[in-house]
Amino acid sequence: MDPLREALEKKKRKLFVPYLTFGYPDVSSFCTLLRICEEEGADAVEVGIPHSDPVADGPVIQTTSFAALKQGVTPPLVVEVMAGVSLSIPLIAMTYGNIVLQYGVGRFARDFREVGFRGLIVADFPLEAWDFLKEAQGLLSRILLASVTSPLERVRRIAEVSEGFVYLVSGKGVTGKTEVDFSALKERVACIRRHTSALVLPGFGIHNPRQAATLAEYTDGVIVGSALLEYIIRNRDTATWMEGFAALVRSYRRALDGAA
Amino acid sequence: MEKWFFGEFGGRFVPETLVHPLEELEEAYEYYRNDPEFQEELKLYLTTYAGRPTPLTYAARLSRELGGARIYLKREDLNHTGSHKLNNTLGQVLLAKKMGKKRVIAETGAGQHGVATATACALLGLECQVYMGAVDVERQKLNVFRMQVLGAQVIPVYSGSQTLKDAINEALRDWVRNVDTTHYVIGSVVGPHPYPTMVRDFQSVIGREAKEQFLEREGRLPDYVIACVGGGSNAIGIFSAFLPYGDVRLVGVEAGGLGLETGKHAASIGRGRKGVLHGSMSLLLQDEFGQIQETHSIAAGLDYPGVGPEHAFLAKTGRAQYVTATDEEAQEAFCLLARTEGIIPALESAHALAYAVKIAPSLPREATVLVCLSGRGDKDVEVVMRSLAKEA
Repeated sequence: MDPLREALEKKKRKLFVPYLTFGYPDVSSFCTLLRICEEEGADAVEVGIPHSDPVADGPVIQTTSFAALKQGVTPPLVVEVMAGVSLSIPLIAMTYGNIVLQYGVGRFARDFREVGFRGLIVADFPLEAWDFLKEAQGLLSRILLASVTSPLERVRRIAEVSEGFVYLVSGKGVTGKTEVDFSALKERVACIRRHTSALVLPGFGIHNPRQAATLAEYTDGVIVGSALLEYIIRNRDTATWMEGFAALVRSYRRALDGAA
Repeated sequence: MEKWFFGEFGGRFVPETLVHPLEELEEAYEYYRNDPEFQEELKLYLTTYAGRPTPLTYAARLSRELGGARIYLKREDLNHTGSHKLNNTLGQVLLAKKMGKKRVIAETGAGQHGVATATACALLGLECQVYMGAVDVERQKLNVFRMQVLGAQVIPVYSGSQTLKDAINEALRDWVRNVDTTHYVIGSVVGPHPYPTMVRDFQSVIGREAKEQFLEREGRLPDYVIACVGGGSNAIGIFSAFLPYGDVRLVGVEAGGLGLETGKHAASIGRGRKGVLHGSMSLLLQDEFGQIQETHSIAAGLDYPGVGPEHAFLAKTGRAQYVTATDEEAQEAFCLLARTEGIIPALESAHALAYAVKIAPSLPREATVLVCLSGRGDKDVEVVMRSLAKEA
């Protein structure tokens, strides 16, 4: 079994995986946010490495990505900063294929692994496109996305080769702007359960703890990105936004623990 | 997966949600491509509605003035809506209708593809929404109004650099949300498979006609075929018929902007590196970290940081040669053609012409050059007027 999956299974609870854009709102606050996620019960953190053309992302992650890029965030900076951060939970890089290709696939996998990353999600690289990312194998778990539009036969194939977990896109849409399609989602979870023992985490459009708990009833937890980042965008001018963020993460943790 | 690629370029690099819709599109396209009834219907629209075949014009005064090779123009500017874009939108919107889609979306830069899509939707009775960068909406007001008159809704895009590439991003996001009801009409030979192949096929009518017309006129094939390249749909369209004939030199002209050395250009082949954007592996203008760079060209239709994967392939194999023309050279060609032939070309097409102007004088009188005049320049007169006033 791959180490990321092993680490997640050891938790023996519904998994909470927050997504943060690296360097948003600034590098030092981002590092504090990571620490807050760890302390408030996140089981892993997805770290967005920003791209100039994030086609799979809605307005919130576009905003945070462009802001991070404007501050000069680059993959080498991510490696440099993360080398100085030590966390007890695994990190998962989420980005777009061109960022990894230009850095060099093998080098990306080695450098990111070295600083605490254990998994890789590439938003615009479906199963077939991973032929171009082979050099990451054995270094970063290949986390594939399955979608409510993927035919069941394809969902099965994806689940069979996905490492870490299967990232199940919860509805038709981009991050933050997706209406969860419960019936299509359930059907796909059932398919994965029937054929594999893979962990399944839904993501896209999950925007409150109650909804997270509902989804966790028949999945292994949830991924929440835009809802957290939107909170930061709206509140970062206030004095207590970090406490507010901690409370928000805690509320997801509690909701998921209640669903277990 | 091999048929998704042109050598090492092409492919299908899209969010998982779009994989199945692209499979459905590919299947439908394969079916209708071989369906005589569909082809008959499309041909009827191309002839009785778009006005095809477009003529081949011998540019006598221009050729004489340059004093070398004889220059011929394939007159896509005389196609309905004023450019080659309608060849593709008629094909794709008809396909969308056959697939039972009720709604069509498109991206547009200068507005030519948006207008051509809105036109085909009006003709075939489909709902149409066009994404356009907010910067382009501002500088192409007339085309925005044309689309609205044609019954389309124009949606300004405020993200990123607010130009063509961002309009494509937003159209892709819309498509992810509405795949059941909606077909996305991509305007060039870019995007994930099957788009580069499908758009080429719909544009190949340019090359088929031109080859036949040229043979009839000259009794042989041209020595040069020259076309401008942004995404590269008119170029692939005219090249396609001449690809098997190694003696015919194919030349794509990219936007040199203010000059390659200034960094303000859109020469994706000339200065780009291999990478992935908008669903395919191709040559891109990007920084060392893979972020897409902003481009510049006086011709909005060439102002794009990528290029169709088949062009990247033709460049790599050497079958076609890619050069650049600057803003200034394009403007000079624009004025020259107007003065010598009474044809105001689109600034995009003026790039192709500029290269013909450059090489023709040194070629012998027997040599022939075929230029794809991809569109008419009415849309550009204001830009040229302002630019010339600045110089004066």
